[in-house]
Amino acid sequence: MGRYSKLYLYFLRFSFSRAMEFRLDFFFRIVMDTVYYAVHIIFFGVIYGHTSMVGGWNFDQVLIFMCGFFLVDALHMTVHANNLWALPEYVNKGHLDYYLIRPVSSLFFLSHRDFAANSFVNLIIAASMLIWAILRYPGEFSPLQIMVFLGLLLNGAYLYWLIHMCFVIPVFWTHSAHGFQMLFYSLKQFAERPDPIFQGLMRRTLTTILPFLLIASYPARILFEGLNTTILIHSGLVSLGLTIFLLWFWNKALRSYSSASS
Amino acid sequence: MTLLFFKIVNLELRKQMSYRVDFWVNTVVSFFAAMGVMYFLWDAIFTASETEIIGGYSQKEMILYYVLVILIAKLVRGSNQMTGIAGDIYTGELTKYHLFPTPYLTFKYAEHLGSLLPALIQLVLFGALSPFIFAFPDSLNITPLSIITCANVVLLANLLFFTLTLPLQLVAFWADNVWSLVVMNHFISGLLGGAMLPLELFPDWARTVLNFTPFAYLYHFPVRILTGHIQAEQIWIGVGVMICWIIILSAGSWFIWRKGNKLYTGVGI
Amino acid sequence: MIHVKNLRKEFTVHRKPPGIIASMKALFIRDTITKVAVQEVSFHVAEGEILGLIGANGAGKTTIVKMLSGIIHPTSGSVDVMGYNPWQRQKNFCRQIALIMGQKAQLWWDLPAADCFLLLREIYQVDPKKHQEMLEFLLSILDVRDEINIQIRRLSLGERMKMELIAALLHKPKVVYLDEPTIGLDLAAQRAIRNFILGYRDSVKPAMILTSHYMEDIERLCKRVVILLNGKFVFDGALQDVVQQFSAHKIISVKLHKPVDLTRLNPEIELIEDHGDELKFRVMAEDVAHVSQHLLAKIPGANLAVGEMNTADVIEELFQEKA
Repeated sequence: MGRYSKLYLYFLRFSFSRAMEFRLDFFFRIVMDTVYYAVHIIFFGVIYGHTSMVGGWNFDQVLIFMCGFFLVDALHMTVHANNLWALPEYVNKGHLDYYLIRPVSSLFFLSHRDFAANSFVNLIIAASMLIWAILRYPGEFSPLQIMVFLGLLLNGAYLYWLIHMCFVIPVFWTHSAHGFQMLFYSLKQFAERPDPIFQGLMRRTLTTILPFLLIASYPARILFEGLNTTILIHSGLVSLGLTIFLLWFWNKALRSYSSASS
Repeated sequence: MTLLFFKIVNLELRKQMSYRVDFWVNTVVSFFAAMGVMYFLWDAIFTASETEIIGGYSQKEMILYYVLVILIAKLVRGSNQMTGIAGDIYTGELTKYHLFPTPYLTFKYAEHLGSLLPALIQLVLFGALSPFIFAFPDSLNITPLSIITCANVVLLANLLFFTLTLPLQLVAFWADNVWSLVVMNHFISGLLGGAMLPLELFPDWARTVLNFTPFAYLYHFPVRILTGHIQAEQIWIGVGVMICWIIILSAGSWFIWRKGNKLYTGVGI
Repeated sequence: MIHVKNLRKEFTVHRKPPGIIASMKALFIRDTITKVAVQEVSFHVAEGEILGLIGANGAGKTTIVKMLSGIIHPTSGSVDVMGYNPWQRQKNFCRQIALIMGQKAQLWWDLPAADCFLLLREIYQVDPKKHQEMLEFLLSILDVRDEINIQIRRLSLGERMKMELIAALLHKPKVVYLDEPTIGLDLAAQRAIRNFILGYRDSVKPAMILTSHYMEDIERLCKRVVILLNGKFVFDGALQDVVQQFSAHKIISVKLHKPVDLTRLNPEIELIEDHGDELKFRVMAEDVAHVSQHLLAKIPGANLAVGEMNTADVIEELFQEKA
């Protein structure tokens, strides 16, 4: 583990030194994510103009939930997203070769080598928004509740990576430009809404095989419903199961990697 | 000239259809995902608010609105290929087009139109399926006249969206990668254009402002025309505003295009 | 060190017919064809040996190298490299091999080589002191010490290739695969890299496999070669034996005392070199006797010698025939 954190420090160093080469789109990306946050808050703002509750949550609660989601999203954008977007091109053009011959987990290497220094600013913005949303909340949370909430959000970011990766990997077979990432972004909408609104089969799917509801909505419930061990165990089990599936899927994918010559 | 235009449309059509699995899975799942989220969300809202009508919509009308806006928005936006021009500028491909007799932007618009077939197929397919899956209002005001009017307005909205994205893409003359601007436009026009919420839900002051922006006419306007909620007179006013925006945005793009082209060195070739 | 037995690799390719109806159809059903890239190839490489893998474009050389390094999985057959099965990609296996591809860069474009070397040290867990020693050694023989802090993309092709070699060999691999390491380089850089490879071979004694388009690379570096034709194995043996086995032609050289009118010669005899005082003809082995007579008759007082073709030409001929 120590070795991998050392490697990650190198990735960080490289990414920041590259980001220092000033570019205009550095700011574009910060503005883009901020606009994304604003659009969703306005969306709920308009809806709460017509109702006081959505799925049993009031506006103050939805605000905390959404800011939690923004934090997870910013983490993903900073740590993983760039790498996952680049992966289809790596697979299709045969650039995976040198990553496969190293005595380091290729999955780790390919998911982390590019740290998005520009999204790092959004990480700070999202974190500040979450703090603001918690401070303006009329009720009180215990420190333990907040710790568990943050822990589950971290697990949410991990799940987010796991799910996203599962939608990129099919590119090993389809050789398309994005894998099923468009699909991932369509399904991601489920993570952006409070989980109590989903019922029946949809709910069961979204909390197990496509666990979008566990990303930010379940963590928020720790704040509103108190410490709930079922949520903790459920989230842990799903993360574990999906991890095992991803490792199997990744190995399967590498078996059919054809290493095109550029 | 016209023939060439249609050849490009045809070529782009085929490019669009070539990713087989992706195409079908994307199409089906993205539609049902978007509808699923909206269905459950509004079901929860209608249950909680204990009213029959929100912003002038019954629950069934709300569902119908989302089915139509999701499908029509795809026709207006094309198939997410909107970073093509920026890409050409960035990679230096643009110089290649300087050798072609077709004006570059006409060529690109033809390509953009070509990318619409998949959206059209989806409109027909899901439009036909949806009444069996979702509960629609008992009386529909969709008439042949409203369909024809809507189709024409959609074409105009498509051009409006193209001209709206164009200046953003042309920023590529100065910045390396402008996809974030295009995505930002996608978010903003989605919210303000009615793809996320019917515009009737916005406060009155906001609606008044929105009616002067190009956004209100992208998705909300054609959908409401189709369902027969907009009077003939207001349709003409709306179309007038759309044309004004197309002219303003084209002029702006032309200005940026000229500036950018002077600067352009065709990096990468 | 390396044992390859009956190695085979097939690829599935999609066929995309033209026309809009056909592409609509392709949304549902797609035609596929199976292409055999490598067919039942067997060979072995010993410690300290450099094996040359020769073949025309698309003969399957690179595919073999990629299978031996564990990048792609073979369809059938077995490979044993230092007792490991490459496509299990065990950490200990990875730590002892190196792959250098002239066509693909491993170094990160935006970074100076020095940064990449540090990262590689961490990846291969090389002791910092040993790493420094090895780096000093490699930098001095390749003479690129001053370029180490310059971004890779600002280096010349030759310098970049030298950095790639250093990056690949820093962890002292016991098995080295070199896939077209000199492609696109100028003569001086090619020579430097060849000398370097020999030097590395002598000091570390690894098993090496080299593929190259330049026969000079093969001639200078490899005693033994394996020849592939369209994925099929056709020869394994000493380089000098290639000529005997494959050449159907002999070379007749004629020393002249005075200029000759070439139009008097039978135009069917293939003249391949004309140096003024010496002519060289390429002749089928069975025709040597009567062509010699013909030449002697037409060029009185000529001095005839019959010899073998050179290896590079034979191999080129072989590839052209089968192509």
